[in-house]
Amino acid sequence: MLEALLEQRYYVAAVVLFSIGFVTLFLHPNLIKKIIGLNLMDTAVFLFLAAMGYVDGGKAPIVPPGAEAETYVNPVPGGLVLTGIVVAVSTTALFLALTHRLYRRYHSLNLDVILMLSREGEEDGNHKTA
Amino acid sequence: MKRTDRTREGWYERFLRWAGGEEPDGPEGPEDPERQEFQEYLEYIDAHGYLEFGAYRLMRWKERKEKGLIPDTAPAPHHEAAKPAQPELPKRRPGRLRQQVKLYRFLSVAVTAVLAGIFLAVALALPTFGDRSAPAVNEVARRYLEQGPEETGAVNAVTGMILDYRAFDTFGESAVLFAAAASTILLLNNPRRRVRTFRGPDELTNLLGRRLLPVILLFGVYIVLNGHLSPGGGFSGGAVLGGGLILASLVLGEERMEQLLPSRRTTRVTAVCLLAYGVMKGYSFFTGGNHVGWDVPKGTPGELFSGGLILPLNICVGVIVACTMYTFYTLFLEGEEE
Repeated sequence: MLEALLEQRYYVAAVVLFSIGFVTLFLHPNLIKKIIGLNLMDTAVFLFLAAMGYVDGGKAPIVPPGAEAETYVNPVPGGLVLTGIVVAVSTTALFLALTHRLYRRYHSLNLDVILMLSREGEEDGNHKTA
Repeated sequence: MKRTDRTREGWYERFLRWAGGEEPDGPEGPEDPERQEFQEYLEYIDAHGYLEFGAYRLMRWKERKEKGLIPDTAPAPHHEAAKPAQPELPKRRPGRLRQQVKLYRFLSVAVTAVLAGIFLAVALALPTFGDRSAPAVNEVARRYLEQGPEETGAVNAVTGMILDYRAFDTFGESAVLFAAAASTILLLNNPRRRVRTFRGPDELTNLLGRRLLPVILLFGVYIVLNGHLSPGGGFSGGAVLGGGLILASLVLGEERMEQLLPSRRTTRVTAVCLLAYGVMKGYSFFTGGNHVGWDVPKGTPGELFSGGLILPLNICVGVIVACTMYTFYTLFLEGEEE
């Protein structure tokens, strides 16, 4: 069991990273920390994909014409990870922008406080109309 | 002594302790006004039937009550005022808030642990790390590695794959980046913004930045241009270039940067590069798919001018990424002033 875990250590590390990010999403009320947790999950997925592409003794896939395909690692996960990184950067920027807007309005990054204030705003609206 | 303990504890922990039904002769003493307010607050949220850990509301509650903002329909939290509505009030169970918080924490850790366990079981069932006979190392990868240099003209198999075989996908990627930049501009662009007065960089940034900046920019250009020959390409080189632009903004100041590279221009350059990418790749898809035969010459693999359209496509992607990174930086910087 332990030997198998050591053999698959890259996958295990990816699982551990993913869990840390996931639990961060639940337990931290701070929005910036939630975004950091989401980024940790992204990183775990990239690590997993990159580890899937490795072949024993493989070199980086810079292939001169006519070379043996066996001596290189699998290039497909590399392309997938590239796509993933770009999407992760885009979503992170969007999240941060939205968080910034929330901070401008509520002057807090704490999700509990933001929810409370928005509910207060609703109640005030109801109160005024009633 | 009491005071230092209290400040170190933090209001959240203190509220949790009170919510646990601690005896009133605790360290705060029986007549703590904060604690009395907290009891009122507990009754208030119990009466409303929803539970949030919003101690913040407690702080605002008094001032809102004075303004008459608390709706009249809500049961008043004071004992005297609550008397008529007393039978409807649910009984306050001491320790309920703390139990709920504990349950929430425990459940989130438990869910994560179960998920991690499933993932670990799957990871152990996967083919061993680096296995040659794994199903992921199939004829697709073999084809890319064996035929790639001839079919695409790129020595770097990853670049050949993402900018030739799967170039349409990369176009979507660049479009996603552009869309993110556009929506960030929409969200953060403040019409009445003013450029902050630049106090000049500190000594270390000035000293190191001015020396490192040309090297960083040159390295970024190198990575972009050699994307089909060595590890790298438009995305990584563009990220380096964007980092260089951010460093330039730190050293030269935003006003100078706004003169050198106005934000309007970066957006326009990004859009033009995206269009150029679409036109180039559309051309090669159209002619290639219909067997027209007007192929772009591939050149000899391994030289700088080889790989057909890959070099200009890499330049386009690099410019898009660099401009987007820099745009993100300037937008988040402008938001700081408030």
